[in-house]
Amino acid sequence: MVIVNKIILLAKANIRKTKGQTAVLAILFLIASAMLNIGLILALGFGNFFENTVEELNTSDTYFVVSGAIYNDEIEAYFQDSNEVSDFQMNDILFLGTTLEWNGEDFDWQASFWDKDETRNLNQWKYVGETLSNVPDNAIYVPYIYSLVGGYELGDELVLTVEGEELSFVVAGYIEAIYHDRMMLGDVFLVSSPQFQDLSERFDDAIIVSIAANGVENHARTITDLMELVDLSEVAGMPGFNSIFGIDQDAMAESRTGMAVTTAAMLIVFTVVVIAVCLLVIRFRISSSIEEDIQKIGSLQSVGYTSKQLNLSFVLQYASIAFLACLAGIVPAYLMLPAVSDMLAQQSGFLWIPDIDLVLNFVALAVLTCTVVAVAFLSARRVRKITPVQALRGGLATHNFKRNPLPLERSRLPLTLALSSKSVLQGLRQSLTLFMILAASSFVAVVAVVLYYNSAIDLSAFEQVPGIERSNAVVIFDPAEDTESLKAEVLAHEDVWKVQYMDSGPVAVEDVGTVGAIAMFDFTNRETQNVYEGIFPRYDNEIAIAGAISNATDLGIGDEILLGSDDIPFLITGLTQGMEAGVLTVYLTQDGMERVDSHFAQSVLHIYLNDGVDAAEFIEQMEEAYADIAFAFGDNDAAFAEGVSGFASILSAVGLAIVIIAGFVVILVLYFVLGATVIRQRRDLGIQKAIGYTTMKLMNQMSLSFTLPIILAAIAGSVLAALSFNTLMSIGMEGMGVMRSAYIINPSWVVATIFGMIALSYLTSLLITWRIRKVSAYELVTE
Amino acid sequence: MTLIKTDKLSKSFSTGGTQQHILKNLDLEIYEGDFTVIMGPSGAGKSTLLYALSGMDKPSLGSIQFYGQELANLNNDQLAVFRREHCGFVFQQMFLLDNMSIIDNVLAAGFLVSKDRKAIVARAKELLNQVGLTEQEWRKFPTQLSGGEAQRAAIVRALINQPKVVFADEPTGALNSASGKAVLDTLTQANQDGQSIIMVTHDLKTAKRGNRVLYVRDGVICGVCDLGAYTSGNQERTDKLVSFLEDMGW
Repeated sequence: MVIVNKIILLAKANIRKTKGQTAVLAILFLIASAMLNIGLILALGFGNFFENTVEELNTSDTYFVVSGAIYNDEIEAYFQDSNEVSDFQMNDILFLGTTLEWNGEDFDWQASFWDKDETRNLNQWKYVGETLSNVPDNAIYVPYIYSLVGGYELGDELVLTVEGEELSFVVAGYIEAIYHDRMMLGDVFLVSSPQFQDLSERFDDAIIVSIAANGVENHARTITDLMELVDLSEVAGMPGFNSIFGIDQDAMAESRTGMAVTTAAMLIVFTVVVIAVCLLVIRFRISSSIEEDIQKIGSLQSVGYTSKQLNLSFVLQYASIAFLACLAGIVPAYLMLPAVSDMLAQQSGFLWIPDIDLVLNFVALAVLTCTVVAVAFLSARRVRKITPVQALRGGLATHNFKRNPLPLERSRLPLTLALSSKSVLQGLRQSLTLFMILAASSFVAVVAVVLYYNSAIDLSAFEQVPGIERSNAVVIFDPAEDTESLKAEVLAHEDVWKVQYMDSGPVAVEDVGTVGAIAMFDFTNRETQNVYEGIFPRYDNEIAIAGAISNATDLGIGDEILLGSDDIPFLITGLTQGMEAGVLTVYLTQDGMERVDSHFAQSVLHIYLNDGVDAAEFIEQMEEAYADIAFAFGDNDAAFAEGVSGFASILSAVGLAIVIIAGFVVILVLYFVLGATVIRQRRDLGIQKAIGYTTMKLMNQMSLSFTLPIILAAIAGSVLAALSFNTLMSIGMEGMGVMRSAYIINPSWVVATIFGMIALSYLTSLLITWRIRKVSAYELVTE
Repeated sequence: MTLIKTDKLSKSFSTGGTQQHILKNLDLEIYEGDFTVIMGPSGAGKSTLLYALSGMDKPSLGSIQFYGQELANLNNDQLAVFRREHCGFVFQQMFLLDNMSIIDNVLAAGFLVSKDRKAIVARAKELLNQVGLTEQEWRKFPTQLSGGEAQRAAIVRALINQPKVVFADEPTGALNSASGKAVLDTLTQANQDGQSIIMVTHDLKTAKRGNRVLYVRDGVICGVCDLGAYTSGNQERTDKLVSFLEDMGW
């Protein structure tokens, strides 16, 4: 007990002596703990929440939708007779293209209308929050993001324009359902049974059949089987959903939780960097303390303190700081989680209310504290080698110079630079520590800056991630019309600089199942060049396939792949990324598409507008001109703006936050290292002042001695980040079909970040070394 | 010619709320080329006076003129420039920079003033030779030398910029007698070469090296003794100094 008391006393004395540095270290641990707890709760909590919701809503393993136009009784029989299928449920839903107001602007989105009163065993839905008590006849229940982002409150009117007809509803509540979202199968709207019947009668072309099934082992194979049961030629070229689509629970979970996992991974990686910084700082501080307090250590040893006690006092000092700060860091983590949850809800569509997870908090706290204990213990082991006599003579501090780098006698450098260079070379270990910390911070800062640049400044690369063709508007003509003449007519419009047909449809691929196929006359005209290896097809026997298909089939460029029920061979010319028609997409020329689907006809005209032309206004003109011969019109600018804005706003916010924290870490670390150096070199600074060095000269000298490792670290960390960013992103986004990411690494932004880090470091150095003014030459001789 | 002149020089310190007057209205003149020795009992204010005269510390009141230039009005950085250009310092504890070789310690002071680096390097080597340090010793770090060798290196650092005056605070206080004699011989030789020196000591043998001795007690100068130029083994000077010190109550 006496020993423990002594150790506590020593640790307390050490903390009291370095109050400022203790506070800085505590702040760093607090930030790290907050980020780690958010990251872990997000990684595990959001995933668990999603799994629980999946279970709660009795979500099926797989989900298929079949266009009402091609549906027949054989499909129901297929599921009934299947040996695999344990349970299935069929529902009619309405799949409509709608225009609605979203935060004051009109947007075109797909919507799935469900019958609210229909009994569902599988794929249920649930309310989120309050509902309207007096339910009007035209009540509608909308996804939760309509409240969070869309600006709709209970009782608000929601006007949906469908096929030119305005439908007025009153928002009566918010709901969540698993298999539908804006990115896939459209927003779910629940309406009463009478309303559903009414809408079904008015828009009977839009009826599709949803099939929730349990037990299906391979949903892709099931789609291929279902394709055999229907006649797609009857609906070729028709507007709306005119095919069969299927997805499994894993793919849906990946789509819904992907952003949460990415955000959590970024937070955890950044926490590791901050913790590494903290550990390096602790190592540096213990080493400095031993040198600074060597005589105190000697006197303590001489009165009977053992090396073990002294070692443990260091361990206790840093472990207690880490423990208390990390414990305190849990509080801001929980305070910030609701904001993080809201941010994620914009992308996932789910309202996640994070639970308090004490076990997770305890594990994070224990891991952080134990790491600090281990590093402090190893760093303080040096005390064991010090004898009391050696310590009392100030041994370690004064006899450890082995060489005299950069002798002044031969140096041609200006005096300040020569002396600072000597310091760098004599303190290589410290310089290396600083280099590592700042290189890591610069790496993180550049990653964050590149993220910010691509999500807030220039979104062109970000828009390419989905691999979707970036046209401004789209008109779907009746394929029975003279589409070539219509193309020429639209091209003649003064606001248009380019037009091209690009159609999509399902094709069966060997060993994979039915995938989405994109067909166009000349792929070199595409704006979104999402081939990451090889080229797009040029001839009717060539094909480009998604990297995910290549991985699944083990086929690559130069190999043949069989398409369609007749196993028509195609030569693979390129690998693509993105999810233009799902992660599994193939690209064929129009002639190639016709080889697989004899009924194929071009109808989807992509339109590219001159700079400054408003796509919405242009679409109005198109609607007036081609209302009779076109099935649908689309404002791609608006769709892209809305589609990427959720991701972009999350990434830019995270990027900006990380840049700020990286800068903060640099400032805190320099405060630590330079502050300690000023204290340690107080005597030498006093001597230099006595012989005529001014405060400014000494400030520059010390700042410059840190500037060299800072410059090298900023360059090394930044260049490494710039070179590896796209590789890292490709690994992280492989699940989204991104095989070789091509985010813009703007050299001037990277260089600006390097200069920013150097300037921040140098200014911080000058600010911290300003305390040299308090070192007096006179104090030296009177001590 | 007057090197330094003080007018009502006072220095006070506040310790625990109590004002302590260390120097009290000192009027003093120190002359160019002199080897001035400041003596007095412990706590008399000798070192305080030395550091006030050298611009290392600022007076609380009064004036210090260095060749007519007022020091009391200079700020800390101006005082630093003043010290580098006009003063050399020899301290009891040497205060060499431990992380630099002996010659680098000297050059770190020399390069601060002169732009002619070749000339400074040559002068440093010449002075180091003069004080008996070998080239092998120049390359060593201060802690690798004996106290006497380190103090002689400190004297070279003080002389490198050919200062108007060298201030020495108990330069032999931490040395054995042989080392102390070597250091004093170095300082005496410098003075004989025309270097003005102001030295604080409480040692009789050391004080004998000066040609003028000021006795300080309770912050005032109680007496001045002119000994004339130092010559080795001059008993008459020794007797005169002993008599002066006895009169001063030493």
